[in-house]
Amino acid sequence: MNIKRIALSVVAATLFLASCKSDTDMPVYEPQGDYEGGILVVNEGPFQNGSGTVTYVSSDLSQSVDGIYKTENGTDLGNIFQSMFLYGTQAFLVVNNSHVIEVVNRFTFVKEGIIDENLDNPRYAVVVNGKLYVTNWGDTASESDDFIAVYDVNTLAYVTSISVDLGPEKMQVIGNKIYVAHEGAYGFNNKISVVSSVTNEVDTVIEVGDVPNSIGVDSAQNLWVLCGGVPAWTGAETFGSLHRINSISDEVEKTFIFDASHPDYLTVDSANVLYAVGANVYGMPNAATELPTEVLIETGADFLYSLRASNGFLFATDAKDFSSKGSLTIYKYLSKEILSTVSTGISPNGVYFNN
Amino acid sequence: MNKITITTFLIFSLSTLFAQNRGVEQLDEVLLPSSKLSTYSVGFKITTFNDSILKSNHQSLSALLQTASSIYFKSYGVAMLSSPSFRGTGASHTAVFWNGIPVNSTLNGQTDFNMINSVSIDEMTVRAGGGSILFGSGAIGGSIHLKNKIDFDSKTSHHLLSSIGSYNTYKVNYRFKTSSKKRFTQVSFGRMSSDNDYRYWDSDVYNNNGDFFNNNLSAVFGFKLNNENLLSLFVDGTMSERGLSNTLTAPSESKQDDENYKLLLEWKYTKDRLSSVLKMAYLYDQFTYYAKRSSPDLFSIGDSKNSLLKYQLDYKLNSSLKILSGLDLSYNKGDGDSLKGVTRTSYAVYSMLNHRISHRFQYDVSVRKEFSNTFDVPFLFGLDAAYKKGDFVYKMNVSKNFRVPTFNDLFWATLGNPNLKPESSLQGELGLVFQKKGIETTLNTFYIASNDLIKWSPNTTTDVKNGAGGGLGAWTPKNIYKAENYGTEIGLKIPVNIAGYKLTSQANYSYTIAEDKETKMQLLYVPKHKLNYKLTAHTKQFSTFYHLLYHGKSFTTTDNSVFVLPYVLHNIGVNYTLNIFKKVHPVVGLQVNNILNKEYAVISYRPMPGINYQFQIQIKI
Repeated sequence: MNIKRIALSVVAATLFLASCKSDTDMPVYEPQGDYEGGILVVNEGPFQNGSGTVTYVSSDLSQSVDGIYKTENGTDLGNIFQSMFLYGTQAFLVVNNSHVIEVVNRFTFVKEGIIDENLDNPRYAVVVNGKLYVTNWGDTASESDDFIAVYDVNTLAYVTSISVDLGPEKMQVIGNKIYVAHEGAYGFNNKISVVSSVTNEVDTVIEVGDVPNSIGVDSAQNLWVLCGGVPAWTGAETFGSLHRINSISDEVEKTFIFDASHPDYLTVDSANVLYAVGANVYGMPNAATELPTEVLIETGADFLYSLRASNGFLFATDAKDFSSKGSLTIYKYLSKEILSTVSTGISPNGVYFNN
Repeated sequence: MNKITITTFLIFSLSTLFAQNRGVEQLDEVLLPSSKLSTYSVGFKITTFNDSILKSNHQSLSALLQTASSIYFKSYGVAMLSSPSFRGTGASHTAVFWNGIPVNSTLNGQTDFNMINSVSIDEMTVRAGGGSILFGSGAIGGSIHLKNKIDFDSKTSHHLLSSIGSYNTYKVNYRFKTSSKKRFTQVSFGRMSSDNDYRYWDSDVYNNNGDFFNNNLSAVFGFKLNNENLLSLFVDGTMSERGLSNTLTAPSESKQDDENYKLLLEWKYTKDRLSSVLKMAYLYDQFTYYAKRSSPDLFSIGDSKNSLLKYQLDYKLNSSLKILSGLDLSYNKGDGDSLKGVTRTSYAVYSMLNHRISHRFQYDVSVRKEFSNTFDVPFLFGLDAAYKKGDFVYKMNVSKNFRVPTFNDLFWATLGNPNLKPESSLQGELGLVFQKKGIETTLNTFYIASNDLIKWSPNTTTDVKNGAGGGLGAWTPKNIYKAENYGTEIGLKIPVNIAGYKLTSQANYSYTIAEDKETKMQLLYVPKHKLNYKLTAHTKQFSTFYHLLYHGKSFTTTDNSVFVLPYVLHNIGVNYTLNIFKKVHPVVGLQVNNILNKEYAVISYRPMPGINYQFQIQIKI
């Protein structure tokens, strides 16, 4: 067994087997499906004519199988598969341009239901207090019809819609609060809406930098919001900023300013905050007072398309030219060691742990 | 392609070969010189479709070309954008001409064949291979020439064609033509409309946003001033509204309205050894795009206005030498929500020499220089030759060609790239034609090396390093790749007479490699194999046809990991002439498309219709 093998089993052990104790005390383990454990990758699919896919990566990170939704259900998932939310035994697959959420068993990937009402360009989903919250852009030609659709997570019945500011995108749940980042859809925005899952109302709106593209929470319950700034092609370019927000007071406690760059893909691994600028990954402790100047990892990706850090491991996807299969590379980010690179579907935009 | 199909094809071909007879009827398509196009292109493959085949064609021009040439169409649906492609080159690498005037959109560089009604033209000529010297920008893969014909035969005629088909498809084409010895007038009107709501294979998805209509009105006037001078005026207007079809996985509520107007005044002077043609044209194209039909107030518009002046002087020095010189001036203007009043002025001079060394051997030498206020166009040169020996004609050509970036590429609001260079290509071709007793076979093999090809793509880290504007992730056009295309085309045509039936068997096969030079991967949507076969049989009163189209696997990703499945299509049709009236002989016809109800798509996730029917009646007076 070479070093890499050992490393891989370490990843597997840390990520997926943490809940398993010794074999002797436990009853014989019945797997709940072919896809239990391991990693799921959301692939948007080709931009115009096609379907998104789910890639399953085995827990030893050595193999990947693309298209598991179609394998199990015989039909395509839909056009522009944006994101997924795992809850209980279910996975909620949000398909933006088909305007649906496919509900599957997360371990077998067999379809269990569908939500196709009261959705219009759905983006991301979270579950809080038994309810599924889905950000929606609404009609992309209109800047004033954006909303969050709410469903009962057990019956999938529609509950209500919460009207919000332009371009709601990623969400972070802390307690009963849902922090919604308004990246801006086809436009640009600079707000975080704080939605109460008790009243289903927007409690407050926090102003941040332009284009909040990613959001996370650290082990001290601080909310972190990364803003990319308005891109250069608009002719009204602004640069990035990173905000640390107190999740009790909802006040911005610390703002880091980026000089002439557009950071993206914030990911928080307990007390470590990581993000990327271009294809380079940077990292700092959550107590840092200044942004890091040294690159943590040069991914060398053609087009770095997502980052996720967990237990010292970093998962980075490369969308390449968006017209061919992408890839997922797994690092031990502190030692900067590459553990494995596997193939994904087209435009991989997120990594999820199926355990 | 299955065994039965191949066997059927072989049996048809062989039976017609063995049953070969002399003195058969005139063929639908001819390989004959048609004006300057072939005089100065002796080494090229040129196919002409005459009026009778255009008018008897029950389907669109794209369907005709699809079944009778090596061209393939990138078709997004029945009435959606459908652009022709030669030899694995892109949609904007086919130059399309209307009476000698380039009509490819200034905005996107393409011609949508679903916007052309065959009623408005009398002849279509397909010229494979580079033609930028004579035809300018875009003639890299080949060119398609749509023409109206003017004759002074003192006849008056009416031609009406009307059809009704599946999915509430209605078509009416009417043409009136009259001429004296000095005047010619032709007026045509065409309309087609359809609900086009076919089912997407065996899914529960229908093409429920694909309804369309288009109207065309055109007129041609000729004035023969005297034996030397001919003045002609061509007018053409098309307007269409079409829903943009949903895909298998994504619904659509969008719609596009188009209007195209063309006006051309031509003065032709011919005397002795000299022929001079002056053309002045004005073209106006406009589109309106609605993201949602239900929100008619939310739309985006764009238009282009092109003014052109073309002058050609053709002079015969002696019995073996001819010289053609030309001047092109053009002024283009683009406007709309994404392009604000952008203009381009360009002019070009070119010269071609045709030398007929003997009745067996002739060659052409040609050069062109174009100047533009927006970029440098390379100096172009070409050489082509033909040598005839016995029943064989050997052909060759080499040429350098180019395509200028479109207005969208250059000027699209904030994302366009004004620093783009023209694309260029260097190409060569060898051809062999065999003609005997009405049998005709052609064999062509080509090589095209293209540089500075333009592609819209999100800026990658490498692009940004290389200076792409707009920042990481911005979708911008870039002169980003090189391509190498090579392949072979085989054509076969065999006419025979069997038991009073005139039978024509015709097949085209093409093998096309079109690779990204760096990755060696086949370019998107270029089928390596394409085969079409057509059998027509007729007596005086009755005619029937069978079409077969095999479209090979074509890739939809740049790593060639995903592809559209190959398909075989079969269409059949019959026509019968009714002799129930004394003077008028209506022809009634029925055509069945996709008779085996095959599930197929040209573009992935955009299914084409299953079996469908069309009934038509044609009256000529």
